[in-house]
Amino acid sequence: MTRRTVPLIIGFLAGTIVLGKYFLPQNAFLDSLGTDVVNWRTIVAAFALGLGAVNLLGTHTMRIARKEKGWDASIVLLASLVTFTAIGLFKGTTSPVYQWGFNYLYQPIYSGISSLLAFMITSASYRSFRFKDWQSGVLMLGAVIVMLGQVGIGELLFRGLPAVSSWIMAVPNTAGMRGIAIGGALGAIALSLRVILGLERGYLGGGQ
Amino acid sequence: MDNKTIAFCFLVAFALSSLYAMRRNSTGSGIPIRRVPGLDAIDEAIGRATEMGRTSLFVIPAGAFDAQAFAAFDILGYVARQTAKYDTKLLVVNALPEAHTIATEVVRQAYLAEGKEKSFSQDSMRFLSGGFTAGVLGIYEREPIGANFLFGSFFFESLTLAEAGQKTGAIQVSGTANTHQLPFLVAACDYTLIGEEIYAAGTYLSRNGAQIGSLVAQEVGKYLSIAAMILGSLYFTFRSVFQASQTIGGR
Repeated sequence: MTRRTVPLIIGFLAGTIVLGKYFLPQNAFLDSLGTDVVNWRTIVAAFALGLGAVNLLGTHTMRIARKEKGWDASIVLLASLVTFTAIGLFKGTTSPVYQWGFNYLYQPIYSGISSLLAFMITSASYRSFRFKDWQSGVLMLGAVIVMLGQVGIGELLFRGLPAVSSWIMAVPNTAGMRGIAIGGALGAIALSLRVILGLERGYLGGGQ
Repeated sequence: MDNKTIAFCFLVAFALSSLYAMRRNSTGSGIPIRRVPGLDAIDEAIGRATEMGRTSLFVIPAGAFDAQAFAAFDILGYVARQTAKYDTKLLVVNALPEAHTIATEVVRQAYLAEGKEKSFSQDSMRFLSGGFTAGVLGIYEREPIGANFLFGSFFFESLTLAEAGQKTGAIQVSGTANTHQLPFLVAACDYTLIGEEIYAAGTYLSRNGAQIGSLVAQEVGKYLSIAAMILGSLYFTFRSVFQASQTIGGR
C-alpha cells in the first residue's frame, strides 16, 4: 500500500504547490516552496540520467557479450560514452577537445539524421496524396494548391493561386489546428487533474 | 479581471465539474464512449505481431516530459499487458531519463498483473539518449518489428521514425497532441490519435468509471469553450459594426 500511497501523496503535494505558486497572489513562502519543487524535479531527472546511463552500459555490454547483430556498433557506443564522460569530468565540457568531439563528430551525425527528413517527407507525401477516395482527393488538391502557391510558377499558372494558398493556410488550416490545440489543452488539464487527485495511476503501473 | 484570474476561475470550475462527474459516474453507469479506431487497432497490431513472431516496439519520444508522457504510460501499460498475455516480445525505447524509470515500472507491473513476471526483461527497456532517432532507426534494422507504437510529445523525429517504421511493414499506431507534428504521423502511420484522444486513451482502455466522469467534464469544457468562442466572435463583430455605424452617422 505504501508503495502506491507515497508517490500519490508526493504527486498531490507537488501539483498543488506548483499550481498555488502560479495562481495565488505573491507569497514568499509559497514562491520559495514552488521553486524548490521544480528544482527537486531537476535533481531527480539528473539521478534518472545516471540510471539511464547504467541501462545503456548494461544493454550494450550484454550485446557485445552475446555477439548480437551489430555488436561492433555497441563497442563504438561504449567507447564514446566512456571517453566523453572522462573528458567532460577531467577537462570540462568547454575544453577544446570536448568541443571538437561535439562539433565535428556529434553535430554532423545529428545533421545527417535530420537531413533524412527531406526524403521521408517526399515518400510520405507521395503515399498520402495518391488519389484513392474523395478524402485523399481533397488532401491532394489542398496540398497541390498550397505547394504551387509557395513557388513562383504557381503565380505564373494562375495569378490568384498564392492568395488561395494563403487563405487555405490562414483559415481552414489554422481553424483545424486551433480546434485540436484547444481539445488537447482541455485533455491535458483533465489528465493532470486526474494525476494530482490520484485517479490516474497508469504511471504507477495501473491499479485502483 | 486579468488573464490569470480568468484561467484560475476556469480551472476551478473545470475541477469541480470533473469531480462531480467522476462521483456521479464512479460505477461507470454505462456512459458510452465513441469508438477510437487507433486504440482498437492496438490489439490488432499486437495480434499480428504475435502471429508473425515479430516484436512489438513502443517508442516514447524525445520531446517534453509532460502530460502526453503520462498518457503514453497508460497506453504502454495496456500494450505491456497484452504482450505479456500473448508472450510477444516487447521493446520499449525512450530518450527521457525520468520516463525510462517510470516506463520500466509500468511494464514490470503489467507483466506482474498478467502473472508473467519471469518474462519481464530489463533488456527490453532501452534508454537512448542524444542519439535517439539514430538508435530507433537501428532497432528497425535489427529487430523484426510487427507492431510499432509511437506516443507522446514528438518533434522533428516524428516523420523520420514513422516513415522508416512504415518501411518495416509493421502496423503503426501513433498519437500526439503536438499539432505541428500531427500531419506527419497521419501521413506515415496506419492509425493516429489526434490531440485530446491521446489523453482519453487511458480511460478508453481501462473503462474506469471515475475516469469516464472526467472525460464527460472534458467534453462539457470543450462545448463551453466553443460556445465562448462563438459568443466572443459575435460580440466583437457586432461591437465593431456598431462603432463603424456610429462613426459614419457622426459624419
